[in-house]
Amino acid sequence: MEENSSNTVSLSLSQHGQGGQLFVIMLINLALTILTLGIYKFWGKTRIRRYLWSQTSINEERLEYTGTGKELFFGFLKALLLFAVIIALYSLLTPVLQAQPMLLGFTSMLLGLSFYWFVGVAIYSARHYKLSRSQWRGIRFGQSGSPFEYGMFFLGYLLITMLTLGLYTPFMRMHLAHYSLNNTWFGGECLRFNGKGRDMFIPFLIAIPLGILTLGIYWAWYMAKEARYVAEHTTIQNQKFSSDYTGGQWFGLMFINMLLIIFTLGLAFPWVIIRTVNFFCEHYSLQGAIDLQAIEQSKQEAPTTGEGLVEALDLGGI
Amino acid sequence: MNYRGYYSDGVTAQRHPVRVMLSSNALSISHTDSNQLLASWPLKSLQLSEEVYPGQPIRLQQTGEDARLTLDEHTILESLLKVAPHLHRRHLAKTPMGQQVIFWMLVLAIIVPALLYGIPKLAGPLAKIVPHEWERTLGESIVEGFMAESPACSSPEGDKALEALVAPLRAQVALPYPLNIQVIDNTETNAFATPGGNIVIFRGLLTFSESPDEVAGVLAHEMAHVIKQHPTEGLIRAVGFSLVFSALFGDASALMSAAGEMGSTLLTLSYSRDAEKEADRIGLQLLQQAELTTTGLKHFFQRLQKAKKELPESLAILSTHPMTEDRVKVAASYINTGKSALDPVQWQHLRTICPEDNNNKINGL
Repeated sequence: MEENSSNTVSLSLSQHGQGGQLFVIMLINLALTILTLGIYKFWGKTRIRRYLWSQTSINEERLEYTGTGKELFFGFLKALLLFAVIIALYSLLTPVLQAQPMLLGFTSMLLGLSFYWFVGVAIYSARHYKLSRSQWRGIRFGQSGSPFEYGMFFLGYLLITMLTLGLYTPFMRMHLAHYSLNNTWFGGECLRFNGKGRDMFIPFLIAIPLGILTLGIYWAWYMAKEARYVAEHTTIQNQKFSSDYTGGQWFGLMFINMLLIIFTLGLAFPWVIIRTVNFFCEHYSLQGAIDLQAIEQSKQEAPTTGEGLVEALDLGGI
Repeated sequence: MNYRGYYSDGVTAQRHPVRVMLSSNALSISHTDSNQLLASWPLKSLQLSEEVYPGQPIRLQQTGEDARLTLDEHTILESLLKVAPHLHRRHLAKTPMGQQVIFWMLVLAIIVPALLYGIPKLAGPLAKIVPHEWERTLGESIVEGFMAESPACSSPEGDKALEALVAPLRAQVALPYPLNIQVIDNTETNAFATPGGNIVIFRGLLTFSESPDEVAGVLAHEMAHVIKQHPTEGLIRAVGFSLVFSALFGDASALMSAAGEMGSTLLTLSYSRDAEKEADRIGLQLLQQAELTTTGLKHFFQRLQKAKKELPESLAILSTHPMTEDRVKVAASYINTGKSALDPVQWQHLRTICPEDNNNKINGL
């Protein structure tokens, strides 16, 4: 594909990975993880990401993952240290607090709440790390904003959602998407998201009875609608993204993934990942064309260690 | 020789069609149209950005820099590997996939059984080199965890009775740490030993027992665990197994990790059965050396056997101390020459070591 420097270009996603190749990587990871009693896990995860990134291309140029196992390992150690300090502090304070039941109740509640804050912080900092270690054509992705602030929003919206018996869910999801998407960068170019929770509120209200009647299956249609809405309200250089999968397609993907996992006792996991990445590549696109010459290298500082909190809290994911 | 590729300079997201020339110490990259030299990369700091698979474009970079060179054809690799052999590491196209699968399957088939066999063998020697200070700290924190739920019991006469029960047994053993024996206010029929010489007796065990000799028997059994460092050994084994099983099933799915958890628990339990038998044997010897009657433990086991059939769920002790005909037989086989552990008054004091009102509650149960 020739790209003239004065012209704008449209973007197309494609996926080249093979389940078999990913299977070999996971098999090697498994053996080495067992041999090292778990320590290799971080290097293994990095190896999987490097494969997945390098098998996904935008306009015939593959993405690149530059993270290292060492960064993930040190991130994990840091998170462990943090939790050790918190637990030590709490057990030191317990005898003092036990004398005053009011105060003990208050600190226990605070600890309970701070867990959800930590989950928010973990999600956002993991995203930060992954984006900062992703490149396309030598230009780094990035994320601004603060994990601590995101954690506060996460906790706050979660409390409102609980108090409104879940009715706030679409607002929470859009507010959080607003925060993370508007802080997502490719080089010096920032994404813009202007979706509103109220636009998804009516679909959400409809989805509740339908979800109950269909034993949850209808949620696939709601999720597809939300994905479409989010894509169409996200822009780069004023060009909208789009997502064109239907609820049926999303349900089909998830259902077959589940069957694959169950009937192969998990051995099909690599193929499930490849199918899922394929699905996203097929259904997401950019509606207009953008000027790549105008996108310059990011000057953001990247974190030095990776997503330890996610590991420590066992939030999982690739 | 000339190779065609694309070059991104790491400054903008634009990419340029380029011609690449390989010399003995550098790659020179020039624009296809203008012939302008865009970069000249020394080979010694050249690296492949990721592993190379068949059919995948190869991507090159200078270590630590953002500029990238992408070549669709692999033809350059052969000559490149000759002048820059350090690139071999990420060149994976050479080994066929089938061979890799077979090799790593074999590795797994060797290391998994080796570890499952080796961990229990290593647990004993490892338990011996764990610093006693660590064992004590760990043990104390386990006991404290229990005491948060059920407080320790103490009364002047009760403490004296407990000491009278423990003293003859303690006199028979030499331990690196002082024994710390406590009764806690919990209705379950149970007793356990932790690393570092702590033994916890549940109040429920005192109410279940019909004589002080039954308690003495259980105590001797727990002391045997302490002598043989079973708690520390068991902990090392459990951690080892769970590491192996979580590595085996951790990434796959929730279903498989549940299977992993079960496997690890079952293995741990099967080793704990052997430890129980050993503790029975040494415990009974302890009773004999202390010139105490061995019939207590026999009675205790027999009554547990019976209770197991009648109301199994109420006896938590059975989950950690599996009761078998075998164990009853072993306990019965010891010749009984000893005396009773406590007199009736002391026994009454020990049974009421926990606060009075709570005792009434259990008697009512």
